[in-house]
Amino acid sequence: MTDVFALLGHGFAVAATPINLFFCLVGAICGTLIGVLPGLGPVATISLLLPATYALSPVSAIIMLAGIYYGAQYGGSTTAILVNIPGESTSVVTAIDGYKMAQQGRASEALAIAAIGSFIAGCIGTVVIALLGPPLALMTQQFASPDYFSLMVLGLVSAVVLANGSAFHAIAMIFLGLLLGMVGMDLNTGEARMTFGLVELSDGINFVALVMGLFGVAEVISNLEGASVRIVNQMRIGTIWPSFKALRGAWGAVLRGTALGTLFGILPGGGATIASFSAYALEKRVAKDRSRFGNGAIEGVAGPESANNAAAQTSFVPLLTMGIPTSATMALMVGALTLHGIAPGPMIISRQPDLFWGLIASMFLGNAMLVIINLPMIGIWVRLLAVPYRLLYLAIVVICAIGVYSVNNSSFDVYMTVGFSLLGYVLRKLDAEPAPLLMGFVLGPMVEENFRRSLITSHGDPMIFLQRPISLALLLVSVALLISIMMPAVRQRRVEVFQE
Amino acid sequence: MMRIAAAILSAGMALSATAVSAQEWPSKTIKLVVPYAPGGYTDSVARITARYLEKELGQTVIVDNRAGGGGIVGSDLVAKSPGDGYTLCICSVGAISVAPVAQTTSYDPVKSFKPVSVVSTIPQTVIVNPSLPINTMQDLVAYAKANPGKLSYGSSGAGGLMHYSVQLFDARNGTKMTHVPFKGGSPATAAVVSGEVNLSFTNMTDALPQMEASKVRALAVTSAKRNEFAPQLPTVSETVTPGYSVESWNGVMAPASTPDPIIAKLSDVLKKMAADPEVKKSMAVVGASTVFTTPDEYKAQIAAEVEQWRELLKEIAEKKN
Amino acid sequence: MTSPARRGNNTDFYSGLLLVAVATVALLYIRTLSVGTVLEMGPGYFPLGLALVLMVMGLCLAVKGLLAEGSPIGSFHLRPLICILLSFTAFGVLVERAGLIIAILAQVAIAHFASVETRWRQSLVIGVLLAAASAVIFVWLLKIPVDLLP
Repeated sequence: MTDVFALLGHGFAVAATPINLFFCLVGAICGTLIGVLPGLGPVATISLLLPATYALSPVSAIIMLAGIYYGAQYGGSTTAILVNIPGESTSVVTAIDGYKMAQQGRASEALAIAAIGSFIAGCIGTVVIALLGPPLALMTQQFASPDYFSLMVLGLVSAVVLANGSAFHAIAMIFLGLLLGMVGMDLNTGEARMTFGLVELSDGINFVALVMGLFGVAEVISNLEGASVRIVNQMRIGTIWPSFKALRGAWGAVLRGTALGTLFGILPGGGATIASFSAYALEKRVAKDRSRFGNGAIEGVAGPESANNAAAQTSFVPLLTMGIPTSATMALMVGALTLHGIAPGPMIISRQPDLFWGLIASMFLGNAMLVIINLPMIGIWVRLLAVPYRLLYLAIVVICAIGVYSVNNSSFDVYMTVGFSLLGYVLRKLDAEPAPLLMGFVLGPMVEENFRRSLITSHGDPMIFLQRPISLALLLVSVALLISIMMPAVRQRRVEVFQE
Repeated sequence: MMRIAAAILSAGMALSATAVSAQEWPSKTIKLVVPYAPGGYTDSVARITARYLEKELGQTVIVDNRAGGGGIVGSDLVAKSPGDGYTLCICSVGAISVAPVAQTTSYDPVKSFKPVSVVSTIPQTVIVNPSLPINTMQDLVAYAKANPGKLSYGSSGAGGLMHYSVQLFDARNGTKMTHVPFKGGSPATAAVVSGEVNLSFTNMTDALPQMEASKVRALAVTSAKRNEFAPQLPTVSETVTPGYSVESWNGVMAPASTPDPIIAKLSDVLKKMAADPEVKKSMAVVGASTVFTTPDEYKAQIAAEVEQWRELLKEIAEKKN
Repeated sequence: MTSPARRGNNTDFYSGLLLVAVATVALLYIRTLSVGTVLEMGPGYFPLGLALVLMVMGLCLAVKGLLAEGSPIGSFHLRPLICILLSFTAFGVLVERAGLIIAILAQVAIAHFASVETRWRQSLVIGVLLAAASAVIFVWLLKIPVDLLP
């Protein structure tokens, strides 16, 4: 244990050199910026800025690029809260309660708890990497396809909890999302499915186009319906600092979100997005008064925002300890390291101690910088809401369009956004909620992939899902959760029957 | 409004239609399309190439990632781009030599492009989980024959090179192994480490770090010659399957309508690049060997590879019927 | 509270119709895929199952909407809908052909008509500001590979 602190001390010595501090700050600012801009995500930004790091030392470069990644988690909540447009996929659920809080004049409270929650989660996540990185990485190796399948099932069941309306509608939306997730090339045969003959769809529907259409653009369209624009008039700026009472209410949510995020961040595939969805579902399950959710519950912001930042930190664990990237962003980090002459792999900790411990130490410093940058920014962001909506919406549509375009440099994705905006608008009119649809969309391909892979490796024996202890445990939790969702409905019906 | 837009549009088209003079090339930013997501080894090769081209040609060279469909989307985009020398592609074996045979693509690997030069090659490495009693390629064939269908191999997805190289191996050796597709080469390699699958024919890039840490056992390389980064490994060809050769390459290609003087100029630059020690060093980190071929050699290589995969698919289809 | 809508003209009924429509389109495309068996699933296995479940759920909702009263569907406002969607289409068409600046100006010009409250002078200023800011942030700072002008 003392070893770890000695090494961490060495890491701080590396990270606190003026040059590394400077690039950590550049990364944090850049990350906040792209987090705020909807669409443009860390993957696109890191790949675009990679050539600019050629002149830097590998340590400075990776410190800056990591800063962009977790910085984006801070910025992502801003537009979600202010204008209901998630800046990143990880902030989709933040929009549900965050935007309601803004409409109630509590925008600064929501923004502050998002920043503070992210900071706490970031620090705890980093401690976990430093102390438990290698053993945790070994643990994830115990996860095989059947376990992932069961984990995804648990995710789908908890997606039902995401909805505020009836469970039946939520399940229908999940299935719609699952079906949309099937679009694209079948992994097992390479055949195109439901792509309408378009090559652009062969890798599936672009997530950003889907989110932007269902949430952001549909929101803009319905805001423009009224004669006078409502959200601005209802908005009050309020104080920047959240009240003590609000903080106390969110404390538990921050810690629970951090725990979930830390765990999901390490696992391949899911990462930060699933972490934020699950954190929201968890908060809603443990809350005494569930009706507050969807109406501006602070836990609905604190939980997911803590989760996505914790996950952003711990997703470095498999990369740094085993050389295995678990997401597109981490694959890009591998690319960045190799371009700087370092081949990531299981030997990286022993061969590149400066890099490993310097990066970890920089995460502490970076999170501290981010919370210092973001808290004063809240005042500026909230003032943005005072801009008349007739001007604001023009800026929103342009930024959304550029954002969607920049993900794959593809006009096709912009047209997809048009289609999903229409769908989002229709769903709104039908009182259907898009959040469960998104969860289905994210999990759908992974459910299928892991289910089919499990059956291939077990030579067609479905018992594999019950024989593996991790898988069995996850399935049991799913069943228990499903029963607990159904029970109130059943009980209520019985009460109604008796009353009649 | 529409009239203005139309006027602007037609003006734009007139501009791009003006003839390009090869002597002046390049006079503006060059776009180097990478048909894969940022972060993969093709992306790394592209960035090394872009950096060198920028230095030699004195023009900005931007890397444009157009991922999708295992490289088909980006390659298709380049095939359809104007042949003015300002849109180039870092193409790879998957989308050029394999996909047009295995699937339907709107481009023809030979007719739609003018190949310039292969810039790097990378062999696949046969890796097995170390808990298996398989230490040599001979062991592998014997084990696979004794237990048909029991050995499972991970691939980067159906129809990719990691899938077809094992299919070719199976066809030549009369073995049968079970295909387990993953989403990319990296998770497939990770699955060999964790033991979820038994083996994989993985890119040297992904395999090297795991080999060094003894997380996997490497048996052979798939290229015709031994590899400079792991000279201790025999080739598949010299052990069990004479004539077996599968190699992943990345090369610069241009749209078919590109004028020959531009191709020639580019070819000269790439020839110099292949001898550059800095470039060689950068490629080595990725696990790739730096290579140069003339446009004609490159064209012949593609044609030969297309033939190899076409025959394999015919063979497999006949066996099924 | 909104007054309960008449049977057959409520959110349940139309949600049901929407799901059935999506499922039908999906099924038409899944027809060509091989389904396979549980042990050897083809590419059509999962999509077929999902589309069928969606179809059944849609039918249940539609029938419920026909038989029982429910909440009324919101009214559609075509002007903002069409203008905003068109503005995105214009951006998509123009960005690769005419460059980012013209694409932005065109998008703002069309989106301008989505609201009755916009004033053309203000929209013009916003359009120019957005084009300039995007040129600086996206192209110069973040270096996204797109041309500014044709």
